[in-house]
Amino acid sequence: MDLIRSWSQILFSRDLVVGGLLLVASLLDPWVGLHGLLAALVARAVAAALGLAPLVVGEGLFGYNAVLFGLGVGAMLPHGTWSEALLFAGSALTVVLTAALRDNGLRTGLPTLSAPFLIALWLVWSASPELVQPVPGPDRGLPEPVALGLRALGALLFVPRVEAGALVLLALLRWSRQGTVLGAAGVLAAWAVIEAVPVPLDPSQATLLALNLGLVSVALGGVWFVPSWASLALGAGAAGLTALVSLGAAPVAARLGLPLAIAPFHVGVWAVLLAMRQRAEDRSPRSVDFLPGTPEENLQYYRTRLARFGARYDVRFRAPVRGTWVVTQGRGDGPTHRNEWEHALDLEVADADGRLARDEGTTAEQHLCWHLPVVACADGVVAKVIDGVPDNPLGQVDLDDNWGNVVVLWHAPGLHSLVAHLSPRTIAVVEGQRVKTGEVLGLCGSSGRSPRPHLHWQLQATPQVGAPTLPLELHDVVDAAKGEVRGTWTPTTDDRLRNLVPGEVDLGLPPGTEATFEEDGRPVVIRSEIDPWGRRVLVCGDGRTYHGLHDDLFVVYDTLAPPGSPLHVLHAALARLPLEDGERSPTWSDHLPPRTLVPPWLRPLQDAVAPFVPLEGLHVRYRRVPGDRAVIEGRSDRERGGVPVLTTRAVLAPGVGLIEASQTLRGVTRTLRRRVP
Amino acid sequence: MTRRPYERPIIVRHESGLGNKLSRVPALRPQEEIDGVSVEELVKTYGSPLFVFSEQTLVQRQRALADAFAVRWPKVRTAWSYKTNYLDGICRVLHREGAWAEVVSEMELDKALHNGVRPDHIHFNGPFKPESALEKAFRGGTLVHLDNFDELRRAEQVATRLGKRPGVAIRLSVAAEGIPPWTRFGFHLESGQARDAVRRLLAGDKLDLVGLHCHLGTFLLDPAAYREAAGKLAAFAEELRTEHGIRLQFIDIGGGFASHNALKAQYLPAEQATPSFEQYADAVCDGLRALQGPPKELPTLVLETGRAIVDDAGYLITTVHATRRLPDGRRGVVLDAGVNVLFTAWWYRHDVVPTRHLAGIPEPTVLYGPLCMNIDVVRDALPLPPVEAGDRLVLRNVGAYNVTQWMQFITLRPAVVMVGRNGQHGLLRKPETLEALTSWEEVPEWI
Repeated sequence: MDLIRSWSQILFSRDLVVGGLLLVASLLDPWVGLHGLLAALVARAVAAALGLAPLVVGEGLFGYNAVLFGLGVGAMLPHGTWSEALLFAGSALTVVLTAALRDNGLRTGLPTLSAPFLIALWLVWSASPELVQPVPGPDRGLPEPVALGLRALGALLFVPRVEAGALVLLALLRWSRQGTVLGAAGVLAAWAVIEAVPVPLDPSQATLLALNLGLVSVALGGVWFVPSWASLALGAGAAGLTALVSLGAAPVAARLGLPLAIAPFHVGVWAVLLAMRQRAEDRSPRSVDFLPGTPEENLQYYRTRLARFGARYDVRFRAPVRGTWVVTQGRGDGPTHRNEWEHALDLEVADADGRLARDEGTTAEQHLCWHLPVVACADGVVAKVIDGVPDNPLGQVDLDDNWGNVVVLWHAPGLHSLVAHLSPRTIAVVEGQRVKTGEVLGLCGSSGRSPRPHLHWQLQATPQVGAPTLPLELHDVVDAAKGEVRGTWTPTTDDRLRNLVPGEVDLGLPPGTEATFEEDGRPVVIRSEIDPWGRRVLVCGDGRTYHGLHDDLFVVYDTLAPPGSPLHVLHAALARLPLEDGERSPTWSDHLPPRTLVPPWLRPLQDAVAPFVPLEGLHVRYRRVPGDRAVIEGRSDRERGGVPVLTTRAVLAPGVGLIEASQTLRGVTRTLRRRVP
Repeated sequence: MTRRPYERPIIVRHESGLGNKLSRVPALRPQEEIDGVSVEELVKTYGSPLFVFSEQTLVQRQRALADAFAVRWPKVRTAWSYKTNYLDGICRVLHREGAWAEVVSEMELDKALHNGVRPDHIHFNGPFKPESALEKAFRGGTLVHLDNFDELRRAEQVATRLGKRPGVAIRLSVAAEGIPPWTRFGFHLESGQARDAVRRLLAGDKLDLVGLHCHLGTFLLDPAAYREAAGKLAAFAEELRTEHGIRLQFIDIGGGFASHNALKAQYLPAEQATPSFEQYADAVCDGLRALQGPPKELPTLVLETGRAIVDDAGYLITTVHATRRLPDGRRGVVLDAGVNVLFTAWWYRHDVVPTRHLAGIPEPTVLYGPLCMNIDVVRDALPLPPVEAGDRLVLRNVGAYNVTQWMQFITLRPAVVMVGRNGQHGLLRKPETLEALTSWEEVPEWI
């Protein structure tokens, strides 16, 4: 299987059908195709000998460069023993280079693409006595741009023929409809360049130009950036850049005697990716900062992530306090939260009648938030501590040390949080100390510009005390007034908030175990794993559900599975689950990705238009039904005929975990029941 | 025209402390209604004497306790102390608010299960746990707090027999300054007995140690004792973690918070002497500060508060039956409720409030109950304006222990009702009848 996947990875895919189509396409020139196969076998043997991670090898990620190299050798080197020897040596080299560059790629974030293939090809090119250029096949009566495109697709496999190209086109369509559209745009751009250039290009040069531009358009329009109008524009611009590189480097390459092949594509992609990193804000087009999939998957993931999390930051912020507090000064409010310090919160504790102090309320100690613990809002490192500023008597302020006693935490580059007005000699952390979410930093006091005890909290870009504020967000925190868990929330004055309290609710699917469910009498095995990249996954057959498990929340990030997979039922029923106990559990809501909810025949059309048309996911409200077992019911907002489009139900039993998950989508019910031994 | 009862006129000497231009006469504000329902209506419906519980106050006190600790500790659990008041209605209100159950006998365990409490949401304390009780507990996952070495051995035998490995806690007896130590319960910490118990438990390898429990005493007016005890518990928990790798699920600091009653020998009135929930919470959580880390790594703090929640919610309506003049000048008032139903009269100076404005100057009055026993005194020296037979009096803060410790002695026990949050009222316990009483009795055939 990994042999076929080595072919499909040429198109960034792991689909066996894609790989199969590409294999067949390459075999249209049997000599070329066989060399590709041979190279793949050599690569597999070398990978095994080197002891490379079987999981990665199984994905075909160490084989695709070898396949390309083998195809290139078969197409361009003369038949002979020396060529076969170079094939073996070169294939082995591609594996080594892929492994070496993967490590670099993971660190710098630049994709390896097919650089190992290019390097190996150039080396054998120099080592080989004579070379043959593959001759592009005839047009077969197709219009010029179409023939150019198909030949270019075939040229990807060193079989620049329209027939091969048609098979590659099928593979491309299978992989991604949006990708095909992007590729076609790139080919059109190439055709325009070819028509515009005063010097006529020879056919193989033209074909290669189309291939490079097509690949650049796909890569930048949909794989490394979320597909949208802006990414399409970026792809077009990058295609132009690549055309320049292609045409400009051609004579240089010719003098060096090296084939340009898909080098311009690499140069274009790397240059643009590096340049886009320097942007002030990652927007329009939005880069794929998650695991890249097909353009469809990227778009869907990004859109639902935006709807579900809508977060500016990768760091998830909880409230910096324990229990329920009230916001007494919100964004842009009051005398102090203005201008550069607009995005800040003042928090205090109020009793059931709304009073902020008990008894007469005439001293600082009588205020309800006096000396209450202040905790870290997210994991981080203590960047700055200021201690020793005395608490003010009630009504007085200290304008000299106006932030009072302060703790600044570093959470991510350019992202810090600050808590101020703490009580002197209560700060429990030191600079440089690592803290986790919920750990005590100090006690609430009334130091600095604080007429009465309260907590001031803000996010900022630098560790400087009093730096301008960044927009504030709280994630997965309970809006106590509404009794609702808010995925992303910026509270305002008079809002009451609290963190979720980690409870005993448990799905009973610890990593490294398997659970057998039943759907319509058929067994369904779901395995819980942590993949080599440290991500939690639920695996069922060919499908995977990536999820996060925090102390107080279980949340599904994405489900990559065939349409009928039981994982979609799990996803719908348990999209987000607060792990809090208690009868008075808050409600919550989530968005489900639209792709899985569209009937299969409509999907290709939806895929093609999705980047350009806003398509919302399905908004579902969840609540926990009080009782012995944890029963979670979900209900979509959208209705049809008075009945919700989607209802879900999940049941968790104490000591066992998830025992039932079901969804009813447009009247069709699917139920998973756990087989308990 | 009905003849009013004759009362000999008395000359009362006015003593200092009464009204003059610089002070005011302390006046008793009458209580005509409880949560909006008039006292007279309650008596007319259910009779006198009558225990009345306010659902509103109960819920308020429970929430105030939970909130006071929630802002100081990330994971807090309240376990309702059944022995303080195990009427189903009271228990269910508190369970509805999320409270677990804390029981000290098999009977209370059964009662909690009968109230629908999940077996694994029960903490089981007490020095007396027969095998049947342990078996019931372990089957359901109830958390047993081991009191002594014999119980530890018995628990291991039961666990082996059932083929289970239950999680248990051990009760510690801790010395704290200023309070009398209760050494009769639990394993002593300072003498090293607690350490021995842990080693014995680990060596036996049949039970899992998941919690520590310490109940300092009852009606403790000084929160500082809790700070000290919590500090010792935290230190012991850290010792367990570093030496044995045990990560505790919970630390139970028991109950003992004072309610708004005043002890008989107490000088200060309750409003001044009784600490607030915040003060207790400050002391406990300050004592636990040695335990640091993110919420996941901290043990749950369990509270077994009883009287501090329910005392304020309970009232006793009683009717004056007769008045008398004692030779030493004090008035005596005979009520229809005495120490038979008001057990806590032994140690509290309960608040007594009339239901109508009483004209007249307060004079030292003794409140007697209906029993013909010399010890039946409800209040000893209460300044009260003159009351007549038929007047109602409301005794306040009687919610704790009275409806569990009361005696059926000489009289039948009265009804207990609850007033809801919307002015509705209903029975929590029917008044006792003679039939019910005699249904328990059997007469052997030779008599």
